[in-house]
Amino acid sequence: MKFKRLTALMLAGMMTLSLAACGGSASTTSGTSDTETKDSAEETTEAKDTDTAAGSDDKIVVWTLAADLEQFAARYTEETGKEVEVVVIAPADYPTKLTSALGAKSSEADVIVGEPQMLPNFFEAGFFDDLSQYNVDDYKDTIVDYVYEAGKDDQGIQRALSYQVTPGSIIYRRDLAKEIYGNDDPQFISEKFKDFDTILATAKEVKDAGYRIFSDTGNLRWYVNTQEPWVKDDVLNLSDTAIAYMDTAANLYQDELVAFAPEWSAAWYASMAGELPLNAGWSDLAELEGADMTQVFSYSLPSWGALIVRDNAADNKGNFGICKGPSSYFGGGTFLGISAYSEKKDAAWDFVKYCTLNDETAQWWLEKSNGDVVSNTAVLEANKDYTNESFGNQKTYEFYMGEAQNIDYSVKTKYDDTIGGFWGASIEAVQKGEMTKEEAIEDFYMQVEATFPEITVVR
Amino acid sequence: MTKKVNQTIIYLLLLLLSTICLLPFIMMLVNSTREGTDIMKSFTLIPGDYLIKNWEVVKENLNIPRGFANSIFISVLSTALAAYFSSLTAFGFAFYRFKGRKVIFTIIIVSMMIPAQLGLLGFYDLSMKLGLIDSFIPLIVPSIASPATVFFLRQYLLSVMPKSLLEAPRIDGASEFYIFHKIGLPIMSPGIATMAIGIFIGSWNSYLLPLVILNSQRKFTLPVMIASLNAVKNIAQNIGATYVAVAISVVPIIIVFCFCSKYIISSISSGSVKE
Repeated sequence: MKFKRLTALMLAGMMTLSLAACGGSASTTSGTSDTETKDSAEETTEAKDTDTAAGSDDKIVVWTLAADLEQFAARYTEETGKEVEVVVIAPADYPTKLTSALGAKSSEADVIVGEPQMLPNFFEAGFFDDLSQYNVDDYKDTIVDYVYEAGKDDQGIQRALSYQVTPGSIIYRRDLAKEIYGNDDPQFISEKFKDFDTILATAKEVKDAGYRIFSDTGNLRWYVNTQEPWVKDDVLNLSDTAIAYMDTAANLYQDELVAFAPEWSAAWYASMAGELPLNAGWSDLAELEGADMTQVFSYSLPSWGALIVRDNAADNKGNFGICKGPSSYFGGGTFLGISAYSEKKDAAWDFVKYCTLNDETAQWWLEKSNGDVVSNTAVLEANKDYTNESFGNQKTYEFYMGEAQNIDYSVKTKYDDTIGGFWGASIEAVQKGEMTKEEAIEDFYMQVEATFPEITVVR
Repeated sequence: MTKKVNQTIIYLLLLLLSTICLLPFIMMLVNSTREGTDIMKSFTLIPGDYLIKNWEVVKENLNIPRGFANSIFISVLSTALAAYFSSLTAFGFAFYRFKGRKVIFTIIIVSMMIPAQLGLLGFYDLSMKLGLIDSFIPLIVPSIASPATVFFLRQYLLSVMPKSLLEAPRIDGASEFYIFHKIGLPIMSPGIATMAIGIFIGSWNSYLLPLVILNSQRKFTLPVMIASLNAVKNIAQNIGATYVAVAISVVPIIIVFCFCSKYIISSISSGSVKE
């Protein structure tokens, strides 16, 4: 008897729900996108005539891992009247989604995006369409050079563009700088971070004053191979800076010159607002009450890191300064391109152009995002005199513009991410004393050889 | 005396176990009422006063009712399909002797051991060729074939249902389907309920397949929607909001579990053959 009641209930529930769901989808789609997806699926590769008629058929679909683009799309629709559907996908799963859909040559998405470390793989798989057919070269001077270069595949074909730049910086505590050195000028502090040896010396000075230079040794990872590539003519290149990074990291770690709070840990966030316990690691702060407290002097992060520091600074807001580290680099950023299987490439290009190459959009985004550094050179130029209250009235756009222009993109290879990861693991082994320097380097060589047979390793 | 000691130990152990089970859950609820930056900095069981603000962040970024409806629609339908067709198949395997039944059953068992993720790309390709991308059909219909459920229900049937129960209705002239519906299904129902919980939870929490198959934001299921909160750059703000969204998404599972587990307990004790 009970089972009857159960089934009856389930059936009733199902019926109401299916009614609700069907009714909902019918009213919202009004037949456009549903039929469209079916059509496009059947026709797969054969790109339809791209000149699309006006109306809702014009709607383009954007698959993104950064929710920023929703705001861009809203403004685009408002200004041009063209419809854009933005689908936001969790960043970690974005490659899975894109690979399975575009691997099957699906024409669902018109505009696709990628972060620099994903781009080489996406390019190789042929997901991003060639932008040169839209005379993208005419816009070369509109955006910062390295961003333009980063959107090229290994044949030099332009496939993606970005609306932002993400140059690196040292974000330091002005109040602590005054206390330790009696000087908080960015020029002066920059000298203290000019190379790995100087950083080690600075770390000791900072520790003598009772603070720690970085939250952990990983802060230095950005500066490896910014001047020369990891792989040159298919030969692995273990540069002097990479070795220097290993030595410095081991020294910083073993002499306890860093605070041992890993990036993204609770303690790391807390350190931006003030004191943190030494040796916090990944533990919760409440467990560490009574431990020795210290403060972190600086963070080595790309421009988006400055926003994180600012947003978590609490009472320290305005107490930070920004200066140059040992070399210029960049990290992250969202790049837009056109899906090779899109059926509305012209409309897609219009949106990509609007987001990345339009002066007004760039100026709007700079204000709207409250501090994102845009890639548009004219807009950066126009804002270079803006003084940022959160960073002691420093001219942050001017700084980041300069750094962005210093970036040498030619040293980037598609191996950087993986090889950099191996090198980081080797360094970790050395600093913890699990391996000697020689063993760790040998281990690194073996990892590279095993993963990339095409790379020659010269020992 | 020893009885009392034993009992105390048992109670203590049970208490410990339930604390371990419940603590993460309570923490989730507590964290959903706290500010993102606080969550990252410290750990507490005292609720904060940030629930409304977190909820506003969720509301601003996600269409929770929509995701909820989508998830319920998919989960309920696929659970119902899986339960009905699996029990039908299990009934067949348990009571009918036909050619190749051993081979087919072996194939079913073997297919249990292949992880679903392996077939993802092929499945996507197939769905696309059939024009089913961005629709719920590829998420619901394949649940008709769930080998693990068939296997479980067959073993269950063999243990609770004697063959003689089939003979009586057959003599009375009942059709085979009638026998299945009137006698097979009710006897199997505790087993079905057990499997249904698993299928429902699995379908409700399923992430990879809907992520890949669904393309329009309004068709997203709840887990896919919640994960997309990560794409909003302000990480600190998100954490509290994510907790709220997850807390909401757990509600149906709790309801289903309460409902079904009560049902299992009440009927698992009543056998088919009355002594």
